[in-house]
Amino acid sequence: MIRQIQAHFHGSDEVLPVRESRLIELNSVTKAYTIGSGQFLALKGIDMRVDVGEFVAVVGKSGSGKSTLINMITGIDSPTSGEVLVASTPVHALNQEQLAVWRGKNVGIVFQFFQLLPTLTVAENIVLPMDFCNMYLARERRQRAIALLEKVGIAEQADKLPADLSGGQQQRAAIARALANDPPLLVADEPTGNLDSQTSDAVMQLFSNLAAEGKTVVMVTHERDLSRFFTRSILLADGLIVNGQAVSHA
Amino acid sequence: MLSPRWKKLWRDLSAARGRMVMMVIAIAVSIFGVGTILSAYTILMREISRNYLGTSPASAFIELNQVDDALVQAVRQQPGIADAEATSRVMGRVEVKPNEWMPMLLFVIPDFNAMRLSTFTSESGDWPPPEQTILLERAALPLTNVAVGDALTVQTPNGTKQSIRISGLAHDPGLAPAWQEQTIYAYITPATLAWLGEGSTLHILKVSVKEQNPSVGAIESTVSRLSAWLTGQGYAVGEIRIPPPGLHPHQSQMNSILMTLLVFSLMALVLSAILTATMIGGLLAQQVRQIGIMKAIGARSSQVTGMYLALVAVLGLAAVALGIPAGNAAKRVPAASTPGSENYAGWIIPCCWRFATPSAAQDACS
Ligand SMILES: Nc1ncnc2c1ncn2[C@@H]1O[C@H](COP(=O)(O)OP(=O)(O)OP(=O)(O)O)[C@@H](O)[C@H]1O
Ligand SMILES: [Mg+2]
Repeated sequence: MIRQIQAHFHGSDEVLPVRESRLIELNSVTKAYTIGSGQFLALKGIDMRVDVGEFVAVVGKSGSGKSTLINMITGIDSPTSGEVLVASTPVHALNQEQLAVWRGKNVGIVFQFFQLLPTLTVAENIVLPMDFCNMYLARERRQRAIALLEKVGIAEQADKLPADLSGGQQQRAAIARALANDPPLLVADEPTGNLDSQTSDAVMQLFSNLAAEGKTVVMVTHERDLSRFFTRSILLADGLIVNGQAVSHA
Repeated sequence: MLSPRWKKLWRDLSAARGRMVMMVIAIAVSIFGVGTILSAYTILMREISRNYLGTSPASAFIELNQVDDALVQAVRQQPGIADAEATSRVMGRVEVKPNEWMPMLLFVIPDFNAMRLSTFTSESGDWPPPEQTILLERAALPLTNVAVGDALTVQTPNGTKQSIRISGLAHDPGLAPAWQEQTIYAYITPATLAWLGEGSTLHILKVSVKEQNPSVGAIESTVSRLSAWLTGQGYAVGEIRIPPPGLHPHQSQMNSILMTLLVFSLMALVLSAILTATMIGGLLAQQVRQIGIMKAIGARSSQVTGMYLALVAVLGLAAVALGIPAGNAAKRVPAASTPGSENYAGWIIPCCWRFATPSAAQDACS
């Protein structure tokens, strides 16, 4: 049944026009992991489009391939076959060095466990991507970091170490870091997974505002009651999309 | 202002301060060890060889029933012989504590002021030793438990116990030190030998060959020709001793000790390298997650590699900055405190070496 649906969408792909507003396009993406002697297909042929300004949720059971899918989009991992285009850049064809540069400028990543560097202050954590990608003048970076912290509402925490912040504050700092180089795309893997519901609502609202400002957000989530924030949900099961293409902007 | 990536590195380094300091010290110590051993090696090889060759070592010692001036003159004219000199060696004994005797090797020198082969020098006191006195090799003095000017009880094979005064000290770079051989070395005139009861006849002919840097074979053939000539002249030729030409008696022993030390200090260097690799490995293992994050936010591999290479470089430079000046200081101190380079080794070479090869260390210092 899943295969039939897949075949159906697959068939219709060729006729979809390439749109100006398209940001992400995945064509027949598969991902095989070698486990033991055999191979395990974590993604079994994904076709997916995301337009600029969308706030897309990727949902599905544990092990369905959600993280694997967004790692294809960020270039953290490369597909076994298929194409990944982000803002017309063929991500699947970039080498590691090109990927690092491209990712630093085009994708802001937010992880479940915040992942701020523990020995840098919050502001320094946000300056770090600008430093690595050589974006903005060195003397303007801190100012920009403070502005981003203001945007996520924790400017007063700028000079503290991450360990001195609450979980919600750390996640806001991580979002500010994802925005450091002003990327068009934000990708988040269960960013609220470690937060209480009130804090996670606030964080979701932040993402929602960013999407409204024109950022494209792709987010993996487990939590059903956050669906009101998304413009669209993509449901994954066993490495295949079982719905989601239907809510197309065609 | 430092960019955040260098700040991060610096703070990680300070967080692991204790371990880093240990690592730097370990490398510095091994650099110091290798550097010191290497320079000690160079100095020792140069000085010992120079000191030894400076004594005009004899190529061969020929034992005869008697050696007189006329014979010495005649031998100097023999083919292949550069020089000749008469001497004698007498093995006696000396009382170092009441009723405790040690062997004493007496070298009989006809003219202390005209020595030609296997020479030695005055260290202190009288030169030549007046009749009925002896000069001691300086390394032998501590074994006798007396001081210069005091008397020793000495007995030679054909003599009775005699009390003999130490009139001074000599320094003989061609000898193994007394405390290693457990033998007291002393120098006397033929007159003193006669007084001790041995008669004044000399028995050993020292010769050197004309050839430069001769091989043992070359010396052997020259000396056997000389020996045949001596027999023809009616002399009874006894034992002929040919020491390894150009080599201090303990040179090969010393070489192997120094090599061993060098190998040990190189091993220390290798061990500290392993320690460093392990520690850096541990540090990196702790940072794998952070490296992943940095790459996720746009760090290129070269940037990350650069950070950790810089870390290793800082540690390495710190170790070198500590180890090399320390090694140089070790070389400078003895040079300043003891004029003449001869005593380098005694200071540089660690005590363990002195215990391992007292003679070599002593030779180096003497
Ligand atoms: N490096 C890997 N090697 C082998 N198998 C892997 C690897 N990474 C993921 N997988 C497998 O691929 C499948 C999809 O994993 P993925 O992490 O994408 O799931 P997920 O939907 O994100 O799950 P969760 O909700 O628990 O995070 C799983 O069965 C997982 O075991
Ligand atoms: Mg996951």
